[in-house]
Amino acid sequence: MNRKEEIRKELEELSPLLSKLDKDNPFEVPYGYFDKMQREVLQQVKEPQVSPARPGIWAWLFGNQRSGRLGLGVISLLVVATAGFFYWSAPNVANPLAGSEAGGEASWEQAAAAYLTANIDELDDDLLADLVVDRGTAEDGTPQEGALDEQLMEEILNELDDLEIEDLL
Amino acid sequence: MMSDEQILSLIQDHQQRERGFRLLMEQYQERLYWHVRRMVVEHEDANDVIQNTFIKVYRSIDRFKGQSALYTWLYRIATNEAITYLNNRKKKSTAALDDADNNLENQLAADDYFDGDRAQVLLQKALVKLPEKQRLVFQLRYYEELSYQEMSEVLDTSVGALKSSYHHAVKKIEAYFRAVGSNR
Repeated sequence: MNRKEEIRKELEELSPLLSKLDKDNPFEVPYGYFDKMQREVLQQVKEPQVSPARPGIWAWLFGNQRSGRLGLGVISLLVVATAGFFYWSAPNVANPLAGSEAGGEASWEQAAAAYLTANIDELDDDLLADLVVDRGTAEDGTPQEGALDEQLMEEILNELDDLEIEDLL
Repeated sequence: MMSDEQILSLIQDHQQRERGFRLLMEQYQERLYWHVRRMVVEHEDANDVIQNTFIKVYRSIDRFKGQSALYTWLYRIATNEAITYLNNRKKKSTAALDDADNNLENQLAADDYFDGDRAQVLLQKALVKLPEKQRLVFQLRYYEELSYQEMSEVLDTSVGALKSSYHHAVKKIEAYFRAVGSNR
């Protein structure tokens, strides 16, 4: 006796009423469903599985309490290091002319500008004139190329008398 | 038609994996779909469950050791997926103070893709009133015509318990038919 027949006989013994029913399938599916379903499944299994994203630097630094403390430490260290770098690499504002003799024209101008900015309240015309005259003569007292003559110097000093130093800046 | 062994050897070959899996679906998709459809009733739900089933099969086929027949392994996965789906739906129904069996019955009535004669409609209505396990056992025996041994592998239940469940299911369905008949 095959399985089909065995199952039919079993049901007949249990319920003659049910054994007389046809086993027609009352359900239906949309036209072309199985082909469509197969395509959809294949498409889904072919899509590469997304690997879990590697944690970014912020997640690594602040992902939990322990790494949060580490993150704060790293950031503090960076802030101190950056501030130190700028502090040591900045020109010496308190005495900007100290390094100007060794530097070129550009560094002398930068030093002068920094000095003026820092000492704007204490600056007077004579001091500025001395500075310009000092630079305009060589060690032996002979005028250098581009040095100011006395007449020009006087004109500048007169003009400076009429101007506030802030206007020059 | 290819044998299960041929299909499995294609799947195990990396170059032929997709072809093998396509053949596996062609061979079993309809049987599994109808099995799932009878459990969850509505087509859209059955579609979700059957797609999840095949995706799971694809991802775990390398773990299939051939200790049971391929189709009983497939039925097992499909059944578990359908049960999970029904349990989730039952939780939602309970939350909404709804009755899960009535819900299935309403779905049966509203399903555009259900077109049985009166006896078939009655049988499906009787089925959705059965406890889940009895309904499963009845379906696997009555529609899928599995042996009790195969059902035991699918449902992880003893043969004796399955025979008892089938017996109870048949008696309850018959009682439903008689009750409806006497009310006409």
